[in-house]
Amino acid sequence: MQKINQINQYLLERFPNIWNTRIVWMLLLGIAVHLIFFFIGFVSHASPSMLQHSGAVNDYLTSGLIFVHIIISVLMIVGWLVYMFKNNAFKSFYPSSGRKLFFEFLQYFIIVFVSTTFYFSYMSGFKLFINYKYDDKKMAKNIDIINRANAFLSQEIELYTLEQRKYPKEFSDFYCETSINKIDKNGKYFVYHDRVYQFFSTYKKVVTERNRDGEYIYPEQEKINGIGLAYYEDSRDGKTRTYYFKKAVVDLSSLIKSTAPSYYNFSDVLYDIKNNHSNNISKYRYENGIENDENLDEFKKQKVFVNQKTAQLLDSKNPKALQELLQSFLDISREFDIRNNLNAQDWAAMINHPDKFEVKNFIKKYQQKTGVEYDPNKAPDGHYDYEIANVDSTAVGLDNQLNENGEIVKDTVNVRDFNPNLDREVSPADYFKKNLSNYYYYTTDLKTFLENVDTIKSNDFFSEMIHFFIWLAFGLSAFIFSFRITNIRSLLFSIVSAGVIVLAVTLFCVASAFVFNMTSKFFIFYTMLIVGVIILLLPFITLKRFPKLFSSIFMLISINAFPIFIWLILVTINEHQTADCYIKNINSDNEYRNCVGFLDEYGYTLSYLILMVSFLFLYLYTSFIKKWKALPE
Amino acid sequence: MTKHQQRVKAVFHFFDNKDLVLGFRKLLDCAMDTQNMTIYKTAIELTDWKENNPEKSDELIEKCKSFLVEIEKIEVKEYPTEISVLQSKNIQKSYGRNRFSLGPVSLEIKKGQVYGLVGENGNGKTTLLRILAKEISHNQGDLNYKFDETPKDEFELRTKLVYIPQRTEKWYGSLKDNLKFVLSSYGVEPEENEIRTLMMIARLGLWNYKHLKWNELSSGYKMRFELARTLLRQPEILLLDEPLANLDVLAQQVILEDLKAIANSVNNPIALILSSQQLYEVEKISDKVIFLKNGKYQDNETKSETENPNLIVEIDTDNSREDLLQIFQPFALEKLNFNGGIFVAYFSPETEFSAVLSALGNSKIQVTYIRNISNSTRRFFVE
Repeated sequence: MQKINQINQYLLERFPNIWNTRIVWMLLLGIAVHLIFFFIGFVSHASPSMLQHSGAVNDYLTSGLIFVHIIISVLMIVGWLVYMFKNNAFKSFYPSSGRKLFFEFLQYFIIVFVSTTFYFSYMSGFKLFINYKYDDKKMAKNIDIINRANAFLSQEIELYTLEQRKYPKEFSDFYCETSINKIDKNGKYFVYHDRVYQFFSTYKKVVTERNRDGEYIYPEQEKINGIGLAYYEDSRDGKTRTYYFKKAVVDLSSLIKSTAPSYYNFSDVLYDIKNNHSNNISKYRYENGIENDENLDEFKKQKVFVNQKTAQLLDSKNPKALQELLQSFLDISREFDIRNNLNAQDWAAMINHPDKFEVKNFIKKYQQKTGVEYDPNKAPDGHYDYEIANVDSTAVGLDNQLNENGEIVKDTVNVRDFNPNLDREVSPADYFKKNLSNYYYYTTDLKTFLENVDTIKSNDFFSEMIHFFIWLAFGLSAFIFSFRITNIRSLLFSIVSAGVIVLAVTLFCVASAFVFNMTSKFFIFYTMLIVGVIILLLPFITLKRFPKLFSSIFMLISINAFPIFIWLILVTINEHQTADCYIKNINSDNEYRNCVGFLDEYGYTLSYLILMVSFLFLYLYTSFIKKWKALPE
Repeated sequence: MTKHQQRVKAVFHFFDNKDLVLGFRKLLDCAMDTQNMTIYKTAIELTDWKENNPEKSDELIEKCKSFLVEIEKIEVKEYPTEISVLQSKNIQKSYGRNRFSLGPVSLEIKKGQVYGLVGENGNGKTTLLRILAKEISHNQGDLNYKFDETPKDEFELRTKLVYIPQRTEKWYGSLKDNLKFVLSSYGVEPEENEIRTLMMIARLGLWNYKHLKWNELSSGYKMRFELARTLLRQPEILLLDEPLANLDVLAQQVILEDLKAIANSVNNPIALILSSQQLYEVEKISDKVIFLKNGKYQDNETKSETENPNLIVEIDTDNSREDLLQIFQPFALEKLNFNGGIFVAYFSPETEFSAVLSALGNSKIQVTYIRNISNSTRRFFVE
């Protein structure tokens, strides 16, 4: 207490402005609260189970901590104002200068900013913890084990069917046809219950031209010759489409030991941050302007890799190696707190069915409650999980049902033609149900956990939120500043006047649209700009000519709404740019769509520019404020 | 002998006559004039000692005297008081149509002068003061200020025009901090801040109240604190609206004397204009008394041509008008007014006030109060 008093007296005698704003104490208090939030962020997700719900990166908003933040911010700011409002050198006509006034405003800005940005500290703590606890190197190793062991989790039968196979090389090079309508009966094909598989070699044709509707044209020659389309891929830059056409049937029977679901076929990648298809990751990547499916080839390679590793492990006929892999996987699962009742030994035994390594046992995705039927599409918390396990979502799946003219082809061929024993065999669905073991493993939780870790690591919370906080701080400090330099009466009148002006401008624009048919957006922009210029000029024009209150109203509106005015100018310029671009490229479809102004281009970066300009404006405006203040009533 | 030395000498006399109360205040005035921090420190220590040892008056006198010797040694530069700090010419202000209008008012005040502004309620005293302080605008006329340093802009001019309204705003936080805030805002050296603040607190008799809160002070002390804050700004002109309101008679006299003394400082004189209802007290200390009636200006220095230079006497007695007329029969009594409780007798200009007094004395009637108001603005009130 003694020390605080001493510092206060020191400041009071030397820096009355700093003493009055209490910035020293507010900053110290603010830093202390920031440290607390940093600590909360650091420990909040210490338990891995906290990372097993989707969107853990937004926990600050959803866990109620945001309310604590708001309450603390409000208390700090109100408390600060109570202390600061005790003295007002400017109102008492103590000597002041424009620089002093501006410096005072700057202090308000800093204080409000520090008192409202605890979110950043929380997130820094959170991110630091995640980076420290789940460092990249360790996680890369873990994910490798997880992806390899995932092959043996056997939770979905569809991941083990023949068309999933990518290794040896032939399986990834050749196209696997699964539509019974497109099976060439003269070539070698494989049957598993009601499914038929046939492998084709392919050749490709790259198309760049589009038709009038903006769609890629279909190769003419193949259309005439009736050559079957395997699939197509669009390039990422949206400029080309590659069509893959079937060349000839290839016989891969030497490589296929069984057509039934087998571990040999498994090629799914449980977790790959770069190409993750989960809604959360996609949404996150979209919001941050990162392209989804960054590297399709890389993803395909990963699939091949998983398949290869699985096949090699099975071929090695080394049950110990398998068990070791499963044990490592279970160790990781324990570390990540993933619920399961597996043990490496029993699990390995479930898998070990040489030589075909067909899938004989299935594992549940969650612990089944007694009396409730197990549904693999149901997530552990009871909601339907629509995110059906990583299907390679390129055009492959869909295209098989379309013919070269884009028409849907209905089954015209009976599956019994391929498998006469169909009725006597057990269907895959029944096979799955029949062989479902009591083991369970919460794969969804594991995936969510991994997603969360990566999202948090790569989350740029600062750039996302900084603009919100700087403008909150600017708005609040401008408001407080307005009150400090004038009085409550001027402030209230300016709020009311601002409302009336907005209403009047709106009505004017609407009326103009109806009466004079002035619907152009530029008419609205320029009306607003003109009103803005008038408001900015009014304090200067009315000074000494009209009552002091009148000038103060427009002075306060100018101070508080100046950033909006600058923004309006930028928007108008931007709209001119795009409109100009539209006119120039009216005939070019592609260019037309790519018309952007500099506001669209620089986006949030311009917010800093507006802030700087607003600060500069306030700095220059302080001399006018002084002039106004000196005016007699 | 300089003006400073003369004043110090006068203070010695107070202590010789054991007039401690007034003497100590005058001592502090002299100390203040030195603008010397060592003297200030001693003055503060002495005040503290005095407040802690109220019964040791002889010792205090000794201490004060030896301190006075110290003070006398310091050279105090005399401030020239010939230049008018404020000049107003035909200032007029009117509110709305056919409503109150003030002026024309022309006045000129030099530093060290005290002007009293009197008049009944609603006659424009506050309006005039606020116009002079540039708080409100006037419609016509010129208003000129001449300060030691010409203000750079309007705002700086306002920092030099110190006006204290009748109802002062509440202070928040420590009173001392508020005072120190003034000094640091005015760029006083940090080392001098505390000393100057305490010196002002001592001078205005606030030593024992400096730790109280605003709410704990009586209105008299509130006014004193407000005055302390104002004086720390080292104003060249000071405009006070009803500083005596809410004060008891004794407190009124003390504060008026203090104001007079502060305004008359040797090296830092202040032009002081104060408004008040306390005509008698204000007249006693003022160099000029301005009377405002319905916004019209009159003062006690210039008698208007229309006005007769009568002897005007105010008498309070239980006797009847007839008794008084009987007594004043030998005099050329022009008229005798009775307004409520007081008689106002207008005699011809050559009548002597002493003759009136002896006539009343000889008649042996009961007189509770009598005053010659021929030159007092009081005459305007009783008209």
